Amino acid sequence: MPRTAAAPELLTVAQAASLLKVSDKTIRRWIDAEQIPFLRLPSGSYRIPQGALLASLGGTYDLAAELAALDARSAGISEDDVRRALDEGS
Amino acid sequence: MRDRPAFPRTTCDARSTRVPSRSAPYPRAVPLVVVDTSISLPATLSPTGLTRKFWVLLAYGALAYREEHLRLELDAIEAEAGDDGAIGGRDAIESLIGVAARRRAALAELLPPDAPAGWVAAGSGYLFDEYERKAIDVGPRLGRAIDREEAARLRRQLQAICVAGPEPFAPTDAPALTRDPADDPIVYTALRVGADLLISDDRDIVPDRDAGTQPYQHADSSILAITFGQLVDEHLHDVDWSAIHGDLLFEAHRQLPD
Repeated sequence: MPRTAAAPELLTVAQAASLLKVSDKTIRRWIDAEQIPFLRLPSGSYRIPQGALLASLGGTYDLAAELAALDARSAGISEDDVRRALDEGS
Repeated sequence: MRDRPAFPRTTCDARSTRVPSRSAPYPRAVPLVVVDTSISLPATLSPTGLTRKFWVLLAYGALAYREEHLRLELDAIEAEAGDDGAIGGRDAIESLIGVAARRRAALAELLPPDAPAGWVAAGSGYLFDEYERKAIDVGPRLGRAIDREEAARLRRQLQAICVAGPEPFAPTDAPALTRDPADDPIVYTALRVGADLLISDDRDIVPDRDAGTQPYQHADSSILAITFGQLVDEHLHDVDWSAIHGDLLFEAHRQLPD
């Protein structure tokens, strides 16, 4: 059965770390700082709502500033240039 | 004018919602797509071009979707927490809802009035990894090295427009579906997440360039892979692309005052 963020999907700390390619420690630090929403179960373990986790990335990083820097480096590169470069590598 | 093909529409409420939303915005048709690296890399590495304009629409769709979905998610974790659990970051969710709403409204002001807000993207850990790996690989052929730090920034741009993902899976779980085993987990991502379309210009995923589409099925799931050109011709032919500029992507991410 397909499971999407719309489900709402609750991830373990390890699953959230795997999805974002960060360490478990980073996820726990974000939890401690309440930078990402979480559910603490009676057992003491955590679950993280996937949709809110992905949405909260914008609060952790300045995506607009990062985009500006990326686009400045890519000025003059056309999408056809990228397609050709991808074809050359395949 | 060509007949518009039947499009497998999905609704968010059909995917879930065990509890009704406070705002109850659904049902709303939401085409959920997976975008592979043959499209996501041109869209993110070139500030101009049609793929970037489509990326702007995905960012717009993500904002509209998040505003609605986060409300549903908050309802769901409140129900899940019950009497014994505890919710952390409730304010953060409320804040995220507000941020998404303001960014969507700001972007809507700059887009043509008929710009579709219903296109949303899904991703997976494998898709993000593959994107990052190929970004590093393709950099030198574009005359610019892309180191791991820059690749991680690019990855975040991809993650930012993805509103959903399948339950994490190992790439080895993916069945043989295409001519290239490296593409199988991408198709599997689309199947597992219940996507309507997998957008790809990869010849191993859509071999028939004349048709521009390739159906895939596994177990009870099926999706249609479609080339970007075919997608634009069949599903986005009435979009005024000249009024959508690649730099509008900034607006989707821009920090706005409360």
